[in-house]
Amino acid sequence: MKGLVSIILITASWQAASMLGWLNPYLMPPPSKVLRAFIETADEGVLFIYLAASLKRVLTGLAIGFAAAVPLGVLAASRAGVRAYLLPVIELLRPVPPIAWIPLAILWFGIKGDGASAFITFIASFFPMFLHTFSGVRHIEEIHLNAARTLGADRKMLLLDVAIPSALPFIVTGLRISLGFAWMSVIAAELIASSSGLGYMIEMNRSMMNIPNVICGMVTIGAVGYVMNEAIVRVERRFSWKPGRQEP
Amino acid sequence: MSEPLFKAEAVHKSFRDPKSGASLEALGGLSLEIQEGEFVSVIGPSGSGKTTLLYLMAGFLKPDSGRLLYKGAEVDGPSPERTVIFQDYGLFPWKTAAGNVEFPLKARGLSPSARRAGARKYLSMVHLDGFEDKYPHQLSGGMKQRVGIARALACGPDAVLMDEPFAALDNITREMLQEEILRLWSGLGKTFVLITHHLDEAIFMSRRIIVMSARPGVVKESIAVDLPEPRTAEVKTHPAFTALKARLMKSLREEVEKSLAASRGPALVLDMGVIKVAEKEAL
Repeated sequence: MKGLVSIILITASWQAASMLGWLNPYLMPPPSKVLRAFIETADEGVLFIYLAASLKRVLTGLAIGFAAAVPLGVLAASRAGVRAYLLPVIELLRPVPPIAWIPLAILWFGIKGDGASAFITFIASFFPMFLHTFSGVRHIEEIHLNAARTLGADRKMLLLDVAIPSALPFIVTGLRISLGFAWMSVIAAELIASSSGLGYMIEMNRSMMNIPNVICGMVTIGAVGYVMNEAIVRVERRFSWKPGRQEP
Repeated sequence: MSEPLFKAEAVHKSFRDPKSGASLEALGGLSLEIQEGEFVSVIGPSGSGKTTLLYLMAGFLKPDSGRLLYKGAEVDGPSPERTVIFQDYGLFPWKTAAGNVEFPLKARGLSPSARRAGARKYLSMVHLDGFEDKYPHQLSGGMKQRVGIARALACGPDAVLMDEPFAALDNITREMLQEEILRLWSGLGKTFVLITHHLDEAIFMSRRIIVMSARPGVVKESIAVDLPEPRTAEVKTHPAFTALKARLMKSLREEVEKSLAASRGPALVLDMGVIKVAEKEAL
């Protein structure tokens, strides 16, 4: 509620500053123009087409990232051999920013279609989910392991009924962070390596000096990111077995 | 009685402090026998290796030398046949009360419907009807340990190993659970081993008390508890009860004094930390 007050205040001051002639209308058009751009692009449907294109890439990359990161994280956490081979590789690749993969992604997947951007979101989403899964499984309490073994759990039950549920709050947190990363990276990828999507939309409108549409795209990116984060925070609470666990 | 259920032969167990590298001898050639169907308590000064002994019997640890036999064969890892009731309950917080009790039933390969029915039955044995769907954090300490007891019984164990199971509970809850455990013991005919530092608890509950020496722990003495049966609250005012308590107190005091005299060496309470390190890789 208070957040809404600040947003209204900022928008109002921005509008006032424009009307007073303090802002260059070409470089920083007023909110009223952005709103008009929003209505126009929404009306034409391009906004939603581009939004859908971006979302599709994010979800594709995130799904592949999840499918790779969670099993690898569990494996690395539970087997010392795997850990010794895998962790140095992960730690070497992790500092490379997802956008640094864009040149290779263009070469591998081409500029058309979803391949390059989806690949970038995969890179962006893999590491947070891997590391959270890994540390979640590593943080199992000894008493739970001992209890499980003295209750007759075999390896499968140790994994499926103890390790993974115990790590689930960590995994969902990793998912939330990955989603944020993936969303940011898909926009960056689309600026360069795409012919659709919200990133493409703001870059194309920049080249045509259609700044209201650029800002309209940026606001949409922010709003969608916000909604996705709120949604997954809810999922996080749902899956957290720790009573009274607070948001970080 | 022919073959004892548990038999320890000159068991040695040391722990290494990962930081200083100093070695600490927890058990120094301990030997004992526990017969099937017994209710035995193990008492001793803190740091005398009581928990180490229980963890060896559970199979969480292996002796450095000597042998620990269960039904004549060396203990090789944990088994639901000799399950453990933990001081901190060890319940899975992501499972409901029923889910926790179903865990060993699932491990035994029972069908989902048989597991539900089993969980209901064992929770009912510890008077937790209607709490099947509560999560551990929604239960009081006493109720949590009841779930722990139900879960242990669901293993269908021959032996139940209890590591100070009532230490975290208030007095009234503690006494109620003591009576509950005794009722289950006499009804089930299984072997119960209780680690405790609570003399009244040891005397009230057990038919035999093993007193451990100061570290490195060995069995100092084994005392049969000869009190009227069935054990009710009145037993605690029986002259034999008071006499036995005085005797145990004296015996323990001697050991505590010995360990104080010897405590120029490494710190007293260290073994638990080392056990945890050892367990990490076991997954």
